[in-house]
Amino acid sequence: MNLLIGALSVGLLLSLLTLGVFLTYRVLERLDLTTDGSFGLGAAVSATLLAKGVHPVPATLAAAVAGWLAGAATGVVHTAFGVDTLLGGILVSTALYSVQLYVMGGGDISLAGTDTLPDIAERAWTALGGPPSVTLFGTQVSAANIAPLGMFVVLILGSMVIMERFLRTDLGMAVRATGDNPQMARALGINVGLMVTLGLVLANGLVALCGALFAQYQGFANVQMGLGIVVVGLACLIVGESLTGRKGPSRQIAGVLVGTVVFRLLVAAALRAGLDANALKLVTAVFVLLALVLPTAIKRVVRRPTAPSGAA
Amino acid sequence: MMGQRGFRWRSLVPGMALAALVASVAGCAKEPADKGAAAATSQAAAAAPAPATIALIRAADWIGAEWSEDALKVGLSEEGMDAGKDYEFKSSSAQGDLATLPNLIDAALDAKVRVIVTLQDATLQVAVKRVKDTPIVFHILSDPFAAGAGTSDSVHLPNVTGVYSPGFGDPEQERRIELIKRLVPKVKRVGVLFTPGEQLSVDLKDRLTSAAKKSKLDVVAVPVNSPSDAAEATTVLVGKKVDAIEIYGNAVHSGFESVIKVAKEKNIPVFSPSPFEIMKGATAALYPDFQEGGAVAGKMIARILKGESPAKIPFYRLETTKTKLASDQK
Repeated sequence: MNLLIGALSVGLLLSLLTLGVFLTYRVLERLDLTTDGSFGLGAAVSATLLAKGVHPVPATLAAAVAGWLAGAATGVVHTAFGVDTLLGGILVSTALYSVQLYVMGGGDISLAGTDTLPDIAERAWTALGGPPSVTLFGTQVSAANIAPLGMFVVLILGSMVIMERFLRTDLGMAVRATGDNPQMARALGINVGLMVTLGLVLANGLVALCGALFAQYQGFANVQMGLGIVVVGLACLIVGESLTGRKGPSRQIAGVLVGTVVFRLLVAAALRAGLDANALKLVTAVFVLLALVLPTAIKRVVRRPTAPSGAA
Repeated sequence: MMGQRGFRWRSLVPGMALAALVASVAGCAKEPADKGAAAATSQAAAAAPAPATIALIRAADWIGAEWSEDALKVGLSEEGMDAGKDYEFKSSSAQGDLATLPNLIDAALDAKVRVIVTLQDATLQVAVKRVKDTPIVFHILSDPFAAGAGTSDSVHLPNVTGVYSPGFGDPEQERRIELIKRLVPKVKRVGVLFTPGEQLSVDLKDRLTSAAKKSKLDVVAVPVNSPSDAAEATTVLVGKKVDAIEIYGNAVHSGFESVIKVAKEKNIPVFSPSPFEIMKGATAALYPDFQEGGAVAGKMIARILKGESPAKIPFYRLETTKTKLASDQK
């Protein structure tokens, strides 16, 4: 049960990362590799501020602002210097590795003994009369495990709804139009460069926010935390799309959430299977492949056309 | 056409159905099997209690994983505990994926293991946050205090104890320099490859630099951020005419083959803090005696299995170092 709750918590948390990847990869139709750097930057900024005694809420918000700046840097490299967003993202992400080292003053920061958002959630749980631990299906689950899950549910669902609403506003439509057809968007008077930058800013803000929350959940920030994280975001996005489809922002954003949660649950299932430690990633990959293939295969079986009766 | 207003909660349904299915697999599927097995073996269990499960959790794979496991068994055996009869190990590794690390800890809690053995610093950092009651014994790490496990060897969290090697302290760096001087008598300049992203690697580089200066040796330090940088960084050191190379940090160890290839072309000896790199071409290794540490940690596990509280077992500071020379292997 601890594993299930932990996997749900990590899944919900990482869906902010997937939402950022969705914004760049699906809405803007660009692969933004700033993601790796902004995830680590968010973790580094929040951990540094927390270690200096700053309250978790402003520390987490500062991390999101740092992510905006990272996204803006990639946007400026693209719009002002005409560098492709893919290369721009690689450059900014590479530079952010050094920025993280400067921000943290080293390779990692421990958050042991510092107040974090999950700690606040745990205190809120206790204040609301929640017990120190709950027995679920015969397993003792501590408040430290349950309370952050509740906080993530509220925070992440709120973010999803706000993003869905934003994509339906005039500004959101302009960002979507920029991704769909930049020539047409430009002909309609949309400032394409500005919209690309805005998309990158929002996406990297979400990713940095995710990094900040993840560092607080884990209890430490490490300069290597973000390396390769964009691949996780892409995998979750694609798993989600295979389950919910891509018709409209509602389904796509739902796919972001579902895909990430299912992905983490598949990792948990692989762990639960209790196989050899070396086989973990292989089993995870097989489970994810099954999650991608099975829905289509089942649909094919269910919708197989039957031969008309009486056909000659 | 999808609706244009409002969040469509129905769109969550198919995915959540799959999520629920997976959740049932992840969370509950094993319980009935366990219960079945428990029922089937209940009679046997009445005669002989089942061996206690000990979870060994690593943040990343390490060449010495089996070696450290064997050292733990030595300690347990010295306390009269037999593998398979009194205890069994259940090893898992996050394989460098930090998002999986909390899941490994949670899986150990769900399996109701008697002791969680955390290997490497990151594992203890996550375990301290998540495990409140189950005993934790740490091993193969440098700083349990930074992880919040305690404030001194005797004042620590009631469920945590273990063995740490304190960042290869200054006397050890002086020993390292002495070893270099013994094997390379004409040494004037030492090259260091280190990983800026790893605090321990940076600390070791700084300490070695101070120790070298005391011995009137120059030090040239070059960062290695990823294993793919290792060959280039070694070429830079070769260009600076270093007489010996010392290496610190996971990125350097992962790129060790590149380091040794470039260094051997110029006949520059490479010194390592890992005994396993002797087999790959290092000239000598000076390293904390993790075998001694493993045996001590094994004894701690045995004491906990016998009913002693980790609160009463002080941390053990591992200060013994060992030297391994390539010439001894021939």
